[in-house]
Amino acid sequence: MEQGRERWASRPAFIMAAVGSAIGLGNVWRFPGVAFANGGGAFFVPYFIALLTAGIPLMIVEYGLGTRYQGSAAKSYRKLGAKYEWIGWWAVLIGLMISFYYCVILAWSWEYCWECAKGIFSGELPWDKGKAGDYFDKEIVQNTGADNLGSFNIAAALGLAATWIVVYLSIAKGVLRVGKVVMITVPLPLIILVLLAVRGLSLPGAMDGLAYYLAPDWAKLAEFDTWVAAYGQVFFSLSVGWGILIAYASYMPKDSDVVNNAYLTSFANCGFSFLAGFAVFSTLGYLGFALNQPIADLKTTSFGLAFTSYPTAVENFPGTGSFQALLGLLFFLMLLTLGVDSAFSIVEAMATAMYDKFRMNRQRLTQMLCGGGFLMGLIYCFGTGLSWLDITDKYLTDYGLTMVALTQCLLVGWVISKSRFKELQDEINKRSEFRVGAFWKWSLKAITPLVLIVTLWLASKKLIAEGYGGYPTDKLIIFGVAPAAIVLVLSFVLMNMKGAGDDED
Amino acid sequence: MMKTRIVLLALLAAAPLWAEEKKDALAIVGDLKAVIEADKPWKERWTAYRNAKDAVDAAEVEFLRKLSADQKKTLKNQLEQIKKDRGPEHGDYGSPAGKAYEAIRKDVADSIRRDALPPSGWIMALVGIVLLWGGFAFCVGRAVRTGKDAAKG
Repeated sequence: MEQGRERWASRPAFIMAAVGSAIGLGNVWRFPGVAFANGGGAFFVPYFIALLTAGIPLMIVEYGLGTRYQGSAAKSYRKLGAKYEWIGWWAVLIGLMISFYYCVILAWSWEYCWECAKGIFSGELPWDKGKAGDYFDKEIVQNTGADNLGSFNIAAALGLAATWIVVYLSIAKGVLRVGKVVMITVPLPLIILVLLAVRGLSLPGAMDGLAYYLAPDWAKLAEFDTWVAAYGQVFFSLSVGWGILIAYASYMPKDSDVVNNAYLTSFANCGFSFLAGFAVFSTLGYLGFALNQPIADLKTTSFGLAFTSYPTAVENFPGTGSFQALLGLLFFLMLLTLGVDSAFSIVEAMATAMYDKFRMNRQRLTQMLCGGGFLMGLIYCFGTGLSWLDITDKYLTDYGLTMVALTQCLLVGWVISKSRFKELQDEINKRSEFRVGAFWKWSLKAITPLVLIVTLWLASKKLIAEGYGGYPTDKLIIFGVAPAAIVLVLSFVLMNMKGAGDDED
Repeated sequence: MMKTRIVLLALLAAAPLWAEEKKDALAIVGDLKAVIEADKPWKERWTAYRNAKDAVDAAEVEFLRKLSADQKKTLKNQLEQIKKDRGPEHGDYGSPAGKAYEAIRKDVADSIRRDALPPSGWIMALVGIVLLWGGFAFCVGRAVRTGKDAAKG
């Protein structure tokens, strides 16, 4: 059966797709802020160590499983042992649930792109001066908080439809099409990022911003939290634990160079994050200068950075309204292109898993997933959507994905037999230029699981003590605990279902 | 969720209703002021500022957690009133503590601006680029040399 499996058109196509999946919104709106909060330039020491001892070893495992077993996450785990199939389903189901709201964030980016494009011609930005935050809250999200459903946001629904259409068109025809799409969606945001960094660095105050980002605070290296933040950042940015890398690698031939591919993907992803810090902090430096405010007081991460600080900086950029709108358009186009290949990689991981198990018509399957994803995303188009999204995201990423990665490490490192582990290692080494040995083995067996357990423990302790975001407990249960529990139950249900693909193993 | 900065400034400016938290916040601002006035190097001032901000954020989380729904509503109304009376988020909120905080914040901003990017920052920029993009270039080079390609198997 494996002989009939679809293949990437080339190794660069695979690398670009994997890089496109790993590089997402977090590279721009999470990494620079985390670095700033954890010692600036000194943060690169634990970050690089985390990359070498946890991120890359885990990525090698995922690539190794995909190429060895030539199947999705669920299929690969089934081949490791029938009772482990649920782990693969767990990973891809968490990803699918994340895609429901991730695409809503992209829908907001569509709205910004559209409004900024209009602004180029009218010479005016869509938001009033000094009111970028209000514009996001009241016009784009129409935020009504966690308790009030609010009205349905038609513009967001249209953006959502556009996002899912792009996702569908990108993956419906399989990885050959994906390989072509990523040749645009990966370099384009990089080009825009460089343009924005050059623009930012040429403004007054840029160096102050870079001082926040790069000036090392070595004392932070002695703090435990800094190391946890570094490992957390590596995990969340490399797409490990989602089942995506296993699915993508399954379309590579068995004799692929797994290790070098993992290094290539990781370095490109982390290099992009590092560059993003220049664009973000030079701009924040300028904003601090223009508003006469310390940068620490500006919003430096997440929605606050993307939808409040950056738009505020744009409106303060020297130049005409049309030029400001053009820079706004470039920024949101970058977010859109960064997010869209991450979104379709998530859906592709699920589609591959479903196809491998049930052997459904590939195009029909993609239609079903994209149509279902669109419908599920509509619930986040109400005024309360931002709050629900925030809660679901907290539970699925902080707990769900971390637990998948931990289970994966424990399974490969400790549960499967020594001979099975050796087989996997030999298979990885067979064609790889850089061989993996004891360092890789103990990273997987000890360092990575330990760090993941500590991360989970700290996150749980904080959640129990403080709650999350001031949301009421019932909302945390409905939109956080329940989705996380549902995907876990569903993963066992899917494992126990009989599919046509099961017989082909 | 209420904005941290507004809550802080309102806390400082508000009536003695939440006297305990107000005292804590004033103490944090006072500590920071002492560091600034001692004319310590910019990195220490910056670290003190960041520590103070973290402490204030934590105090605020605790402060908000203790409030009943009615008290939250009252606070929200007060904030609206303060904003209406004294302008937007970054304006002067009138109370002596609020003014002191604002002055310190500007002082820290100015002192950091004067120092700009220290040499250690430039070194870290170089290290980051060399390790990450250099690593990527090295791996690409190796891959090109071996000439292995998925399509060829």
